[in-house]
Amino acid sequence: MAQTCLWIVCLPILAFVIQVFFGKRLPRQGDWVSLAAIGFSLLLAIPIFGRLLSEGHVFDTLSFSWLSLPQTAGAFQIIIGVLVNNFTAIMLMMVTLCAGLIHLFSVGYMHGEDRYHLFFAYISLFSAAMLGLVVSDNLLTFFIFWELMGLCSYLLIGFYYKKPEAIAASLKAFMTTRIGDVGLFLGLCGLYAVFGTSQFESIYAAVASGAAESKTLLGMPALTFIGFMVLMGAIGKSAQFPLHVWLPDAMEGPTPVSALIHAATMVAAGVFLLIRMFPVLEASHTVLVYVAYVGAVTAFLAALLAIVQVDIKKVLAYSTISQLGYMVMGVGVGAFAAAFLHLITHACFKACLFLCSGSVIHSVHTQDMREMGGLKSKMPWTFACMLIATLSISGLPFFSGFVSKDRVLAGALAYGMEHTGHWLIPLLGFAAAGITAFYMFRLIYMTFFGSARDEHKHHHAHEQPIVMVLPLVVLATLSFAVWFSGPTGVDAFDQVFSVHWYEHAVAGVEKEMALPAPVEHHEGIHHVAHSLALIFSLVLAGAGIFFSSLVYLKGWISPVKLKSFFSPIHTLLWNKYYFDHLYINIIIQKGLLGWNRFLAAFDDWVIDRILVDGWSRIVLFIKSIVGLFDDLVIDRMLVDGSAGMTAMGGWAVRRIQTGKVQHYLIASLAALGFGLFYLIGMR
Amino acid sequence: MLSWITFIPLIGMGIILLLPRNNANLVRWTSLISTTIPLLLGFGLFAKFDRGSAAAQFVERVPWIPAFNIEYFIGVDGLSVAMVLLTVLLCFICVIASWRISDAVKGYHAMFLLLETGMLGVFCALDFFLFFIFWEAMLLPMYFLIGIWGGRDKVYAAIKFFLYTLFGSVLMLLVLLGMYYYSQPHGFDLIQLASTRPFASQTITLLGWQLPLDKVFWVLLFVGFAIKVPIWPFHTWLPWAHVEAPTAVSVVLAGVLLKMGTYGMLRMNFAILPEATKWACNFLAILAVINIIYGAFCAMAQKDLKKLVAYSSISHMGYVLLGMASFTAAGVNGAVLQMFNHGTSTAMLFLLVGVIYDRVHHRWIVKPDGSRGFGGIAAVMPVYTGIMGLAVFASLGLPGLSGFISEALVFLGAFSVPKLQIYVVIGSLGIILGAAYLLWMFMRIFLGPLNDECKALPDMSWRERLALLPLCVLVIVLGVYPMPVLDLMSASISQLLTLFS
Repeated sequence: MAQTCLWIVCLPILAFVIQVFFGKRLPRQGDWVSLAAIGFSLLLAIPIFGRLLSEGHVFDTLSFSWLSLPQTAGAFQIIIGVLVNNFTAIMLMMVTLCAGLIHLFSVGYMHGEDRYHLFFAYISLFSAAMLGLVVSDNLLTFFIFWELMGLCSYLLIGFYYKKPEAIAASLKAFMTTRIGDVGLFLGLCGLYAVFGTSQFESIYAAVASGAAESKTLLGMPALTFIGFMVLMGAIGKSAQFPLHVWLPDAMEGPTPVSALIHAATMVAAGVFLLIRMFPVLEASHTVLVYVAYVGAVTAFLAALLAIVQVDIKKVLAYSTISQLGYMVMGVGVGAFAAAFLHLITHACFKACLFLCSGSVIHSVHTQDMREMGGLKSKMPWTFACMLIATLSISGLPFFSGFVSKDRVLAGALAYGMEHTGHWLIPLLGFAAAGITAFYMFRLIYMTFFGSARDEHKHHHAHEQPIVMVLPLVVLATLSFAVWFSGPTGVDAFDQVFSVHWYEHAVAGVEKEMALPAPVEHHEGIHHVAHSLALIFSLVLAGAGIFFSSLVYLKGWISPVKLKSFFSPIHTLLWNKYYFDHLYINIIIQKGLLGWNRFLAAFDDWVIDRILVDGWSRIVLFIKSIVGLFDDLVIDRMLVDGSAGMTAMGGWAVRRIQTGKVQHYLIASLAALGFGLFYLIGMR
Repeated sequence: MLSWITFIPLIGMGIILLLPRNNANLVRWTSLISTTIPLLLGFGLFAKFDRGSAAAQFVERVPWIPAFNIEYFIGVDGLSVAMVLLTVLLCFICVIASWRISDAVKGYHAMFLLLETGMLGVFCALDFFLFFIFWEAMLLPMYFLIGIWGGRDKVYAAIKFFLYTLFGSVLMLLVLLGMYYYSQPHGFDLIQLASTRPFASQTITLLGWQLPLDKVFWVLLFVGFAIKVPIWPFHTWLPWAHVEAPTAVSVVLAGVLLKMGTYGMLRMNFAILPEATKWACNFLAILAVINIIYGAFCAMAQKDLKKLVAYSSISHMGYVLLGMASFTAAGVNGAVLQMFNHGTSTAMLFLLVGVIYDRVHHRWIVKPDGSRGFGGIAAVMPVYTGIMGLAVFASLGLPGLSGFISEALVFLGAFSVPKLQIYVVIGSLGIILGAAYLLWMFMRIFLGPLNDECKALPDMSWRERLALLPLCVLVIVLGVYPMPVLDLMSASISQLLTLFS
């Protein structure tokens, strides 16, 4: 089974390589290569998932040494490998299915685009990275694939590379998530420093044994440090406040990319990380409550933002942030099983919503909902699918979103009832549920109902070809609750998707994670919370839909009046709480770039010109002084001075050099005489 | 074999000097052959190198000046073998990349080959005196290569480089003499010095101060090598030298010469003066973090593409220092691997800068008048953009490419040392900043609407692609599986680290 997983990951990588080097020359620019690769991955993933359903449990590992360095005490080793457990099986199924459908949709959506082969290369690489992350048995390869997804996200958001908004958005996405990534990486370093490994299984065992209790990193308990760093990674990747700013901009990418990466899979990786690392978060005792607050605040604030958006994809983008907030909150309140279920159901219905919006955009060539309207009859399939997915995300009964969201909210409510100081967490969660229903139906009404606001565009609207509609239908089908909760009464179906298959799967994973058993007296609270949450969420969803209908369907309350009534709030929301302003205009433009310029000038002037070249000036100065000394004292006075003496001597000597032999003779005789006299005198 | 590797370029230089002046192609081919043979021998070295042994291999040892115990003593161990391989590879690539140099071809290639011999000699020498000779021998061709074939301010840059490096050499010369006099028996044998480590207990009196000898040596050597690395604040010669140097010289400068600083520290400061190195551990880590952060900030402010890459080198060499300061297997192996990986990725960047410079004769990301120098050239140069993308992502440490593993090992190693954890946290900011300045540059040059000035740019020629191909392959292969290079070095590093445990 673990071997199979390697193939599941490798096939799309292979497709990527083929597409990059040969894609352009292949027939149909090789879109079938990528499709075939993900298709085979899906076929390989089905048996694993089937085994989970039939046996209730899958488990397999495979590991090998990737890097080994000898050192005095043992060896520094990095062991990597594959971990297949129940969560892996579910994720594999979900990712290959969503990715496969989105590949198929892209064949229609991207038809005729420039660099068509590269688009398929990138989504193949992306699929491989996501699958690699899912099957990783250690945080290092998890991180590697995590970053590769960041790369794919960068490449695909900026796919229309001539468009300034697109490339700005791609840079923003990469940089923002990288801030989180650094956190995750430090967490990884922490794991190696404390446990000497990053393999999940070993970490679970070590955490359960309490081996890390006494260790510290940077003055705080080791597990707390690691937990916060992991949370930071999840905040970046899953677009939680305050690093959520990249995701709405990421909608600049082609719509299938938004569906695949920025809704269904990659952004869910952050939540998956929290789930994989749950035992560490739990054991640290302090981190989880922060996780819960991050999630709850995100769920609420992002939902508010979605209300004022007019771009259909932006609504979905903020909705994604909000739903991811639910998942993070779910992990934070300890309901990680519910969070994981929401991850899966959300992937299906959000992919469906995005693809439907893509279908609409492809048809009317605008993303602005104010130019849409009345598309219900023109695009019946798209409308039906989108409605189903909307009902699901709003959390209405019989739809998958109900099953999972209700559990998350129940978990939050139980948490709030248990720790009454944290009442804000369930409150924000429930409020977000109502708002979600409101803005989603606003989207449906503005897009499909009413009269056409742009006749020309409405006139040209048409239903999409089968390659684009089929994925919508499949994903819409998956948005029904039966797949996750049953029973249907149809025996054949119920035998495969038995009522409690998900509970069994979770129970298996909990055992592997070696989590401490929940304390008994909580059971009562959970039971009450569950019933209460059910009622609250239904009422709130109903209320949301009701108000939305009043405003956007019936028009009894004018949206314009509503806007002017809430004018300050609207301004705040319209400017996205001024986060972008703060980050871009103040922190980056004024702070970072100004600081850079200052340091570069400091480098150039102070260090280079003054401290370094300054030496040469000092040397030049010394040189000139020495030169002067040389010139005046040594040369003129001493050297030339001695020359003067010599000249004088020369003059004197010249006087006697007359050139006459007689004078020389006299002089010689005189010299001889003196000499003789001297010699005799010596004696 | 090592002697052949080292001196074949010198022989090639001799041949080139004898060739007729007007036949430029003959000169180029001779130069190419003289770098190809060491490359092929390098493959042999890679194949035959015994991974399990920490000792010096392929040793050649002949007395040279017996009166002073100076020997011709060369060999490679784990610290140097990867550097030798990197040098022969980069020199080979550089000759291809220099094919279009057309003025004074003969002199250029002669100087370049002399430079190669000098660099290889530094990495192979196991005798301090010999090391010093090669170290100085490198300086001369470098001076001329920058000063004659360089850009607008070439003379200033060349003199700055020369004087600055010479200053470092003087400090090294002091230690050279000091080590000779304070060791018993007097000698320059680096292996011998590393095994006896005679300086730890001695003191020296300078101006009435009694100072521990090993720390004095350590500081002098450190400053000498720090200039080469370069470590802040001794780094300002680097942007100048890079900006003015011709492409191939920049490649060698960043790819190989910078590593000599850190190599020298490992070979001398670490191996011979381990006590002093431990004493300076915090100091090293602080400088490492300054290098990482300061280099990255300065890089972000640069308007000249080549200067940006130059400052990125400063930042990336900080990771090497941080890994070295950790004294752990992961950290030091990561550091030496980073020396190798930075050699390949930065060489790619400089070659690519050269490609665009050859076409438009400027490198402005933002021109001095504030307008964009380039923009949207992905539309006209897709292959160039692709390879640049690879180099950029390798350089910013994207997993799956070589830069990541070395950086990751450095951080993993340093983080396992409690007192260095805070430096790791600060240094990790460099990961974000690195991505910021590289991708921002990438965006402004390659993406967006096509700049009118760039409409007619031809994509890369086959010669240019050929020069980059080996580096692309290395960057990807070592990113996926780094063991081929790590295996070369790990035994020696493990032995070196026994001094620090």
